[in-house]
Amino acid sequence: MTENITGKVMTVLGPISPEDLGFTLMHEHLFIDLRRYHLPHGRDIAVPGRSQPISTTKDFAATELAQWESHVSIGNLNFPNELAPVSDQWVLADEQLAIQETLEFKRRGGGTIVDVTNIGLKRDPAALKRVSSATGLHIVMGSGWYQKVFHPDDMDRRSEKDLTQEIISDLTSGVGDTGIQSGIIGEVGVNGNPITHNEEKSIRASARASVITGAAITFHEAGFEKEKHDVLNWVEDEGADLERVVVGHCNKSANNLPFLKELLERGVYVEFELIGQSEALGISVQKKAAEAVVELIKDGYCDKVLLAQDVCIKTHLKHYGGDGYSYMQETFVPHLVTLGVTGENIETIFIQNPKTLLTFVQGFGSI
Amino acid sequence: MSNIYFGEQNNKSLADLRKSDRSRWVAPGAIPNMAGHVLTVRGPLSPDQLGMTLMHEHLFVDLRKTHLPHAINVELEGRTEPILTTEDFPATQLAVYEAKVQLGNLHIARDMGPIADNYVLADEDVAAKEILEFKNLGGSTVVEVTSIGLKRAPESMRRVSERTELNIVMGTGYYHSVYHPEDMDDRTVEELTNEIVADIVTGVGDTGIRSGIIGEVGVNGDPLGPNETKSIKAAARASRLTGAAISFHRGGAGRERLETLNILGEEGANLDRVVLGHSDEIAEDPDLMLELLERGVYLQFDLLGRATALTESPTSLAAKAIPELLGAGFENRLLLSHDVCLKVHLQHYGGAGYSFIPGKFLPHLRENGVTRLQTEKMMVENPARILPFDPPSQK
Repeated sequence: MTENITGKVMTVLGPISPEDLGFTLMHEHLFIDLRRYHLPHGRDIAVPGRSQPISTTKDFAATELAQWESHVSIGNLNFPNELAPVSDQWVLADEQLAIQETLEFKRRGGGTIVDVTNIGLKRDPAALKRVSSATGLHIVMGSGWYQKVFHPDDMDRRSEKDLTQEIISDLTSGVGDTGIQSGIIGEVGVNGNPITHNEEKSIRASARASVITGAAITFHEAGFEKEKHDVLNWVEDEGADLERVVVGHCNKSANNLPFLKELLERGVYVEFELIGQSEALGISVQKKAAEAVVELIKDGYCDKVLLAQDVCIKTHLKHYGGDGYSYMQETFVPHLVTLGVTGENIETIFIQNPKTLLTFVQGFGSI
Repeated sequence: MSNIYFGEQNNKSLADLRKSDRSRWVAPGAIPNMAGHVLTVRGPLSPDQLGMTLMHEHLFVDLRKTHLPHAINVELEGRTEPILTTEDFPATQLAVYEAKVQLGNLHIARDMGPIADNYVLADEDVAAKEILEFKNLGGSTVVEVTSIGLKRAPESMRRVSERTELNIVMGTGYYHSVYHPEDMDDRTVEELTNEIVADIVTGVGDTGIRSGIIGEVGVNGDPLGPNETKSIKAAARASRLTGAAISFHRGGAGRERLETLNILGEEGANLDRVVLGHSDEIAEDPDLMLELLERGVYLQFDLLGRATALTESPTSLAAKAIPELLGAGFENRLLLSHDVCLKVHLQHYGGAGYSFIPGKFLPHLRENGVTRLQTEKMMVENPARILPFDPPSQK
């Protein structure tokens, strides 16, 4: 380790005191490339010598290329909203726009954004650093491996030890040669159903790196339904503390309180990320999550609840008609208050819980 | 305009009337008998040609009057209605208000904020492209209920109809009080009736393009104002005189709808020629819906496609109410539409557009036990029953 960051939070501008975090969004993306997961006429091809099929496209009509390769703009906006293949929808890469959009969060009292873009998603440490400098917002950068589609081509050959070393290096000496350090492990992608060997390696490496560095882990899903327990078992196996773990994307379980409580009883945090999911037919995730949060607070779990937005595509940005990085402050928090959630609860969820998680604990052991 | 329903003699006398009479009065005897026919912007049509029909849409409309920045009502002596205007506000906000809806301000438009351009539909190319999405999913008729005061655009409608080969039925009558003409207090029920009848018989202005339905007649109520009441009475009389159906915007708040129906009845209108639009608003009040249906009117769910995050959407409420009303035996009295009226409703701007019903809503209803026969009733048979004219009454 290059320095002892125990008791500090690691941002893209260096370590800061946890007291300086303020109102924090624990799961966002400022820069990301998700196109690999949203190919037009996508299909998986199993290839000998690879445990993970290759995601590619079927041959498709050339005229559809025009749509796929167009910019998100007035005229084709309904395509991205339908999550149809307009590739530009799946890329956030405009630094000026990121500054403008995150300032909407700051203007309303925001202090810190955790950008959980990690390896394989075109994570951009230098741009995050510039945005932090330009806006005065604290930005915490992620590490670890995302969903299996985004794993590197040689993932089969990479050892758990090798993966662990890469995460530790991101956290302690910086990503690549940028010198910019990650401050959290995640979002660790686990699709599961079933959990693959490579996913298991990524989970175990994240857990080992958490033990060694004292960083927290934040999961994308953490497996399919009940598999979350297997994932948490492996994390424990590696010696990690479940109190340092966030189970993200709990939206799907928002109407299954008994299951959420099962998870909470193991010590983890549950997180709902709620941007851009309004519904014409059926009940929206926001409505279900709001009701779940009220119940969880009532049952004493306020100190284990996290709320964020997961801005990750162009139409989530205000510029493109979305709710932007200030959705929590502008809309969702006021809504929670109408449901009886107190100011103290809001402070716990958006200030205290992030502070506890983002502060490095004493690491121990080695690979 | 080819016209097998107007005699040669009638055509002449009507044209003369239009030139000579400022009030555009049409003698009851000169009102043609359109019974059994639908009147589109391209002329009369047999109801069996209607096919899948959207009963409440806007292709061209200007709703800016009710979406002013820093709006205030100013009460004036001698006027029954206040004037809706704006307070003085900082000039820089004008730049926001007067910008086109575009990338950058789209979120303000989505939130119904003060972007004037969001409240205007005025582009023929966009209208044609958007409405073709409905045609691509099997649609063939659109009822365009933009009425007087909303910058109704008869010639644009006709051109879009020609381009797309979709049938378009144009509305008439008066929208809600903010859109009434300045001198509405001075206008009599007779004058308003004449205006509506002339739109149906001789056409709007000097376009020769005729309205085929009375509506959307705007009634916000709470309480029903004197001018709203005049507009309801004029719609009733014009319906009786011409045989055209009436389509309401709300028809009043809550149970005021029953009062509106009473006024219509007193004026001799046939309640089975009446559509109560925006019934999504009362979708959670089954007693009121059934009470209205028992009177013989049509209930129309026309906010379909609207999505919400923190509350249940009108679309979802309608999707729950419809199977109940079908179960209660009212399959002949339900109508569906989208009420596209803002730029952000268009697919072009990221909205659900004119094709949400065939694309998403009908499949959803069928997954929830509604039969193909029942969706056919709501989308084809019921429009084909309400849109054809009744025989005119000379009284």
